[in-house]
Amino acid sequence: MMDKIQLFLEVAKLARPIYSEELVLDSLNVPLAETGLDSLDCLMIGMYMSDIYGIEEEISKEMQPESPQGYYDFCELHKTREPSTLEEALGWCK
Amino acid sequence: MIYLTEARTASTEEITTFSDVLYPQKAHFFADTYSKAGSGMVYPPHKLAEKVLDPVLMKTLRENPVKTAFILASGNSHFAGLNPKDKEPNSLTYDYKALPMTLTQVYAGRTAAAFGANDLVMTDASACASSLKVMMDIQSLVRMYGFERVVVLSLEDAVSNTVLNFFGQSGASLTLAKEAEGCVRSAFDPTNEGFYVGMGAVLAIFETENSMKVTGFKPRAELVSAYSAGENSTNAIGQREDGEGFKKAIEGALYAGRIQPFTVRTVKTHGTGTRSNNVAEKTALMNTLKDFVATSFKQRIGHTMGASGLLETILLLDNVKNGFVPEIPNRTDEDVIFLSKPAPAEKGGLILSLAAGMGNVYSAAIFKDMQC
Repeated sequence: MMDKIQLFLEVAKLARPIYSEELVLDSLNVPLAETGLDSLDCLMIGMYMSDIYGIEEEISKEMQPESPQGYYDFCELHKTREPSTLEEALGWCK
Repeated sequence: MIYLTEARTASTEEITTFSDVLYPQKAHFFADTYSKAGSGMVYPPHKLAEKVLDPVLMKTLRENPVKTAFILASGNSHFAGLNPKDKEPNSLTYDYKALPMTLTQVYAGRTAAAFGANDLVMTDASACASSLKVMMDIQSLVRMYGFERVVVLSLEDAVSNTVLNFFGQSGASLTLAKEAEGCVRSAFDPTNEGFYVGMGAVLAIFETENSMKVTGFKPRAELVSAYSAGENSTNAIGQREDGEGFKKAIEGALYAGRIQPFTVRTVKTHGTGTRSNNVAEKTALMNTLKDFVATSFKQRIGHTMGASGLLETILLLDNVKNGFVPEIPNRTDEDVIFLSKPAPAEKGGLILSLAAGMGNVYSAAIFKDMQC
């Protein structure tokens, strides 16, 4: 079973500017406003998550998560594929 | 007083040949900035900026707040990735999925926050004069509005299809076709002329004494004076050969700093090496200063456009620290003013930096070396 917190942290690392401080996350249910992510970080994370779960760009624009779990809820609803490992997921981030 | 304390630069003397663009030419290129750009998730100008965005420096400034402004000197607005596609996809073709990230002010605001620069966020689009033009803004912000620190980041999407095509078509950059005729990069030379386009970025921190007390940074130079000017011209993509714009900028900077012309002995020219710039800049300098040596960097690192003025100034400060002013490459005649050979640096002296941009903008900034 893939660790969803770890995947989220790895995706955030890809999505955020290189100078960003490391993100710490204990739960997927933390409100995004309390994670230290800014609005553009959240936008980019959504785009990467859509890539991983094979969601079309037009559909992914409707994603409006309020927590990290919100990304997964959206992806669960619209996914066309699902990675089985962290490595596979990151490999799908084009 | 205003001091230049910390600076980071990214530029390269390495050359890449682009045969698949409309006007095939060489450029100074960081290939890694285009890695995965085809995915639409990686934006080359952001990758270029990351070469100078030092996380430790950013944290230091964030944790030692004073009244701070952030300026993104984004040059010709090619930072915004205007039409990066060519007619046919080629090695520089990319698109970007997250459009808000391509907007200069949005990018500036986000980057400013990482510096703790919450008091003012500005962008500047004064073409290739941009990073020197903002020196005039820094003076205003500090002297009139009480800012203690100004962070300047400058770069643009210089090596892109748009820029290579525009410069290639206008004959400003050296194309492979011109090189085949025997043309070699140089400036202020009767035989050789021109430049390649280059990728470059610069980050520079300007501080007052009060800001330096909290950061502990040491001054590399004092920003003594700066001035920007236009000129009376009906050609917004050309230059007056009598050097009116350059002359007004130089005289403005001398006047604003109450500086006597004979005290400025080192000049970093705009130095594109195009015939019109050679004539205009040389005429202006010979009619304003008295006893000086001049160099140009565009023949080494390419024309980094909006970043060039400040980036090249930092490179010259590095050279001065090492005791010399570099020669202008590929000069064919001996010249002790527009240097055909390196000259000893005047440590602690005044340095005049010049830049010019399309749209008839000319900028001059005078720095006092403080590295000795």
